[in-house]
Amino acid sequence: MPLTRRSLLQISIAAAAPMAALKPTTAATRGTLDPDTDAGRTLIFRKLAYATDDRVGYWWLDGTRYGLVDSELTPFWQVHIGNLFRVHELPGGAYEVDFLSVSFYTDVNDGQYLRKFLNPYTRKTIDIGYYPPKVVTVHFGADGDRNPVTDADGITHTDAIGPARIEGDRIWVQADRLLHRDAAAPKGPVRVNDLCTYFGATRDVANPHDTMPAAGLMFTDINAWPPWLEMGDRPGSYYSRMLGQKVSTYRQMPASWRALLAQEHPDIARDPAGMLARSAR
Amino acid sequence: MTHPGRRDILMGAAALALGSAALALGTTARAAPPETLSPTERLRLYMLMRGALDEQLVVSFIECNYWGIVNAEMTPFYDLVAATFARHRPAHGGGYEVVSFEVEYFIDSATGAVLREWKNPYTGATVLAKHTDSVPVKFIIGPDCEIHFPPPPLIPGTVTSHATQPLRIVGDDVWSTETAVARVPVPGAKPMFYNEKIINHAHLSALAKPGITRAGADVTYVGITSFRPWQEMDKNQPGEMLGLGSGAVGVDPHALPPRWIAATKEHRPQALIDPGVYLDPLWHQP
Repeated sequence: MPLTRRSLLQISIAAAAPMAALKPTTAATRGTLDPDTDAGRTLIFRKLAYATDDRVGYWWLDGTRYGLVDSELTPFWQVHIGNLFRVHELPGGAYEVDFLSVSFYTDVNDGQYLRKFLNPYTRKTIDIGYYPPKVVTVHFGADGDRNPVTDADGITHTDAIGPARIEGDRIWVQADRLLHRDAAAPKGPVRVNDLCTYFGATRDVANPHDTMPAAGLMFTDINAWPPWLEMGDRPGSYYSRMLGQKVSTYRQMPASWRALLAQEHPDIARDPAGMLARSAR
Repeated sequence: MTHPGRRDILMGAAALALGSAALALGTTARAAPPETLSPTERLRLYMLMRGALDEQLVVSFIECNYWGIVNAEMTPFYDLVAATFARHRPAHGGGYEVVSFEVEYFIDSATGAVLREWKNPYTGATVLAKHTDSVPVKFIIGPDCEIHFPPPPLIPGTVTSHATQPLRIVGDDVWSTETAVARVPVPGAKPMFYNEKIINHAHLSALAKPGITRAGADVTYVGITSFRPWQEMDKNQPGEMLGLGSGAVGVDPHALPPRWIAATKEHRPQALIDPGVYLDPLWHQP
C-alpha cells in the first residue's frame, strides 16, 4: 500500500535511523519532515537544494531564455548553467552556502556558443553580458530564512521557502528569491524573481545517512531587462524556464557544459572544487 | 463576443500531459542515450511516465500558483489545483488512444477555499471567478509521441502547436518535455497567448522493471498566458499571467491534494467515488 501524505507527515528523521550513525551530526539532520512547519520546510529545502554535510555538490540547469512582451515569448538563447556549492554549518542551526556559478548561452538554432546577440526587439547586435564566475556566500538562518537582507549595492533580497508537499514517495518544496532595487535608486532599478521548485524522493530526504539526496529542479525567473540588453524603457520581462539536477561529482555534469567551461575558463575547469574552496574562505 | 477558454484552445493539452494505456509492448527500457532508443522504446518509456500501458485508470494531479506579471513585477493572484483521470489503449495505426478528464479549481491562496470571487489587484474590482468545467476529451498519442487532437472549433487565425521533445536521459534520470503554444486573434484587442511547458521526470531504473505497465512521474508545469476575460482587466492593461506548478502522474486517489479533495467533496462528489464514470461515454464510443 503506498504511503500517503498524512502517514508521512510524522516521519521522524531521528526514527528513520539511529542518530549515532550520522557522520556530521548537525541541527539540519534532526527534526521532522513535516511540510506544514517551518522546521520541516527548512529541512526539506536544505536537503533537496543543498546538503547536510560539507561535501562539494553540483547543480546543472538547462533551458531557454526569452523576451516576454504582451504575453508573447521570443526565444533568445539556450542557457547552460553549472553551480558548485558547499555548505558550512554555523552554531544554532544556521548555515552558509558558498556558490560558484558559471553560465553559458548558445544559439537556439545551431547550438553555437554566443558572445554576441542580435536583440530581436532593437535589431542591435550587442555583446553578451556574462557575469564573471565568482564565489558568493549566502547565509541561511536556523529557520531557513534570511529575510530581508539589503546588500552593499542597495539590493533587497527576500527569500521564501515553501510550501512543501509530500505525496507518497514524492517530495517537493518551493523556494523563491526576489531581488529588488527601486527605480529611484542612484544605481537604477533591479528586479529579479528566481522561482524554484525542488523535488526528490521522500525516502532519500528522510534518510539521515543520505546527506545530499538526489534532487531535480524546475527553475523559472521573471526579471527586468538587464542593462546590457539595451532595451531602454521597452515594456516586458526577461524570462527563462529551465530544468536542473543535483549531482555529486563534476563528471556527472553535462559534457557540453564541461566542454564550455574548459574552453572559456580553463583555470576553473582544471579544479572547480578547488576554486570554490580557495575563493570562499 | 465569445472568448475561447484555455481548454478550447489547447484541447486539454495540459490535462493530457497529466493524464496519460494499453498492453505492454513487450520491450524493456535500457540505459541508453535517447538518440539510440527505437521509436517503440521511446513510446514505451513516454507512456510509462505520462500514463500507463494498461487500461486501468491513471490518476494525476498538479498544484499551481498564479501571478500577474507586469514588467517583471509579480503580483500574487491565486492557486489552482487539478486532478486528471485517464485511460489508455492501443490506437489503430499505432500509438495510444487516450480518454482524459480533468477537475480543477481556482483556490484562494490565503484561505485554501475554492475561489468564488476574486479581487483584481490591478483594477481593484471584485469579479466572479470563472471555473472551467472540464469536458472529457479523447486524443491520440502517435507512435512518435506527438499528441493529435480532433480538429477543434478554432477562431479563424488561431495558430496552435504542440511538441513533444526527445527524452532526455542523464544517468538514472529521464525527462520528457511537452510544449503547447497558441495565439488567438481577438478582434479589436491584443491577441491572446498561451505558452505551456510540462516536464515529466522519472527514474530509468523504475521504467526498466520487467513487466510493469505504469511507472508514474514527477510533473512540473510552467505557463505564460494572457489575462483571462473573466478577470476583467482594463483593455490596455499590460502584462500576463505566470503559472508555476508541480504534481505527479500515477498517484493513489486518496493521496490527491487535500485542497482538491475538500473542493471535490463539495462541488463534484462523484469524482471522489468513481471518477472513471466520467470517462465511460467516450471510452466506449466507437
